[in-house]
Amino acid sequence: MNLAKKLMQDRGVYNDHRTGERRMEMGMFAGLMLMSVSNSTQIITDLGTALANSPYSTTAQANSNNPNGPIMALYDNILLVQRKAQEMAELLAYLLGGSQVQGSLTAPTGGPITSAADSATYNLLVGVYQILK
Amino acid sequence: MPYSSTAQANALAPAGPIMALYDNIRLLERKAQEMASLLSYLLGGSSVQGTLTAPTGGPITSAADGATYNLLVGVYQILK
Repeated sequence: MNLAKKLMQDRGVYNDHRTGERRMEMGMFAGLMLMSVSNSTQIITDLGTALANSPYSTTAQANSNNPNGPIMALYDNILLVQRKAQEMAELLAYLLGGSQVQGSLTAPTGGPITSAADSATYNLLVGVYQILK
Repeated sequence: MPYSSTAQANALAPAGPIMALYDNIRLLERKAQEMASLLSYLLGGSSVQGTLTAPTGGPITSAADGATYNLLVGVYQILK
């Protein structure tokens, strides 16, 4: 079997006959690195952009109506994900800022959970609050 | 848990907001889990969470809706 065929079969992963180790072909590795997606740092905004991309492809629409499932209303389910994120932001605004109106994202004050009295919990909640924006 | 006596007093102050602290934080977690479950369906075709980095099997695919797929995976990954 030639190497090209083996790489295609194994998707770029092969055995090094000299060392017996499993190795990944460099081009494949670079491709995987390029394919990786960064974590969101602004969940509500990113979901809004995903909603603005509607209408989705005919492939996605066909997939979402395939009897093998899952049958899903694409736009509505993405909107539901965004609404849940907005509900989380509102709850955190109450817990940290004492109001449903979002104030400072970096150092909210006025809510029952305070930096002075519950700093570990406060820092965890502020970390979540900041990336929901 | 339990949170400080300051937090518990604040959560019951008539000036508000009056809140059940533990329950509201648990509610936050449940909402995040619901988001992850929905995204698992949209990207992976199942309520069971599979790979976070390159989910496949759902109606939204990298090949047909690359921009939307990448946005949703970015959110999915951070919800873990």
